[in-house]
Amino acid sequence: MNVVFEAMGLSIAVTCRSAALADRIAEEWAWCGARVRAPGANDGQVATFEVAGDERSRYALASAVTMRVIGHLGGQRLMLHAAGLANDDGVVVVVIGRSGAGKTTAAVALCQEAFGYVSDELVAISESGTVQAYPKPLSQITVDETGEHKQQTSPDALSLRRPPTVLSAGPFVILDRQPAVHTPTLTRLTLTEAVLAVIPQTSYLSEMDRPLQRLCGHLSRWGAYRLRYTDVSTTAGLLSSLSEAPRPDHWTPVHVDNDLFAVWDGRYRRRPVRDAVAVEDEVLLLIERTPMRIAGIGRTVWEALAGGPATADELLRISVEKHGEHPSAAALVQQASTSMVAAGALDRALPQTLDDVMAGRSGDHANGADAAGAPSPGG
Amino acid sequence: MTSKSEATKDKKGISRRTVVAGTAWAVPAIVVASAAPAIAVSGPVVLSGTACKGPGQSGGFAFAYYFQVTLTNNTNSSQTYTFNSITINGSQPPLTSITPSSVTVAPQTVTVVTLLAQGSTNSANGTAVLAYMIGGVPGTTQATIADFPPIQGAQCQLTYPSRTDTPITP
Repeated sequence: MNVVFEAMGLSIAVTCRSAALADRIAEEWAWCGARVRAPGANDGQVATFEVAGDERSRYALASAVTMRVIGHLGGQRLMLHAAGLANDDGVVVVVIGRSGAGKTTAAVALCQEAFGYVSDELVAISESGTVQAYPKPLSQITVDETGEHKQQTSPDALSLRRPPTVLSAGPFVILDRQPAVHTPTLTRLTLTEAVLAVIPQTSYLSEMDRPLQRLCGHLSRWGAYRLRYTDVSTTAGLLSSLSEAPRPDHWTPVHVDNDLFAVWDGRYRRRPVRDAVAVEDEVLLLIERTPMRIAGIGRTVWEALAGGPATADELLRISVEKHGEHPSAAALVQQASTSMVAAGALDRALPQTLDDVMAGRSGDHANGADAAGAPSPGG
Repeated sequence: MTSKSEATKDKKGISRRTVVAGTAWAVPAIVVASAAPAIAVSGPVVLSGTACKGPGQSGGFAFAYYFQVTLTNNTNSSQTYTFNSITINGSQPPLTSITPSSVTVAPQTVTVVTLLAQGSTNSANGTAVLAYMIGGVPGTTQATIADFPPIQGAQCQLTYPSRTDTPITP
C-alpha cells in the first residue's frame, strides 16, 4: 500500500510493505493529511520513499522528508532548526535549539494546553512572515512496564493541540536547558546576539536573497530571548506572555555594491558581501557563510572602501577625520585593516605580486620590445 | 568622538584622555562568529563549530586542535560514542589522534565535551567533518569552523579537558 501526504506543500508518497504499516504511517503523519492509497496510484508526488517498517526506518523517513522539504524551500524561506508553538492568534513562538537542546520535549510539554503544535524540527518563514505548519510525527522516547520504546509518535497520540490555520512568526526563543534552575528566566537578546545565535541553526541561509535583512526583519519584530530552565513545562506562562505583543528592535539595511575589481597595488578593498545590516554602532556582514561584526575603526575602514580600493594612508586619513587624533592612530588603523584581511572581510594584494606576474608572464615581451625598439630605426 | 580638550597640550594627557574618550579607537575592529551551516537538522552527534587551536608548530609538534562536540543520548541505556577522525577542508590528511577517543553518555543525557585532535601540519579554517561510531554504527557530522583562536587566549570559548553532562528532563 502507499501512504500519501503533504509536507509544506510537497506531495510525498511512501511505499509500504504491508497494509498495517501503511495504516501506522498514515496515523503518524495524520496532521500532514496522510491517507492510504492503492499501490501505483499516482497523485503527482514529488518524492517517493520505501519503508521497511521498524522504528529506525520510520525515524529515517521523517529525516528524509525533512531534508527534502529543506531542499525544496531552502533559499526562498528562512529555514530554522526549531520547534514551533502557536498561540490562539496564530503567533508562532520559534523555539531554536541545536540537536538535543530539547525542542521535541518542549513541543510535547507545551502543546498539550498552552500552544498548538506547528513542528518539533523545522520552522520555515516566508518573506512576509507567514509560517506553514510542519506537524511531523514527534521523535519520542516512552517508557512503560515493558521497557523502553524509541518511537515516532503522532501529535494525536500525545494529545497535542492543533494550531490555527493562519500562522505568522512571533518571538524567537533560544533554549538553554541547565541543571537545577528552579525558576525559569527569559533574557532579551540584543538583535546582534540574536542574529549570531540563530545563524548556526539555519539551513540554506547563504542561498537566500538578503539573508541578514530577512533575519533582522523577523528577529527584530517580536524580539529574541534566551530561555534558561530545567523543566520546560514550567515555562508555559513565560512563553505565552512573550507572544502577546511585538517589541521591535531597530536596524537598517546597508547597501552593498559587490561590483568589485581586483587590484594588485597594495591597496585595500572589500571582499564580496552576501548582505549587510547596521545595528546600533556595528555593521553585521555575511561573507560567504560567515557572519562578522565590524565596529569602531573596522567599520570606518569598511565604509571608506564602499567606492573602491584605498591605500593605508587614505584609510588613516579618513579614520582620523572621523574619530579625531589618536597617538597610535596609524598603528591602530593598520591593525584593524590587517585583522579584517585575516578575517576575510577585506583583500589586499601587494605590488610585488604584480611585479612577479609581469616578470613571469610579460617580462620577455617587455624586454623584447625594448630590444627591438633600439635597432628598428637603424634597420 | 575625540574632542580636543585642554589636555591636548600635555602629551601624556593626550594619550590617556584620547584612548578613553575615543572609544571608536578602542573597540575590536572585527569579530568573526559561527558560520551558517549548509543544513541544520537534528542528529545524535553535533560539532558546534566552536574550535580553538593549540600552541603553534614549535619543537616539531604538529598542530593541535580543540573542538566542541555535543552528544545526545535520548535512549534509556548508556551509549558509547567513538571518534575516528576529524577532516578539515577535505584535502588535508585527517586528524586521527583524538582525545578522548570515546565517550560514554548516560541514559537520557546530553554531554558537551571538548575533543583534542592532533596530527595536522596545517592550520587553515574551513569545514570540519567528524567521523564517529555509536554502538558500531558509523556516522559523520560537520560544521564550518570560522576561526581557530588560541586555546588559552581571550577569544577561545573552550577549555580542555572539559565535559558537562545535562540530563534530558522527562
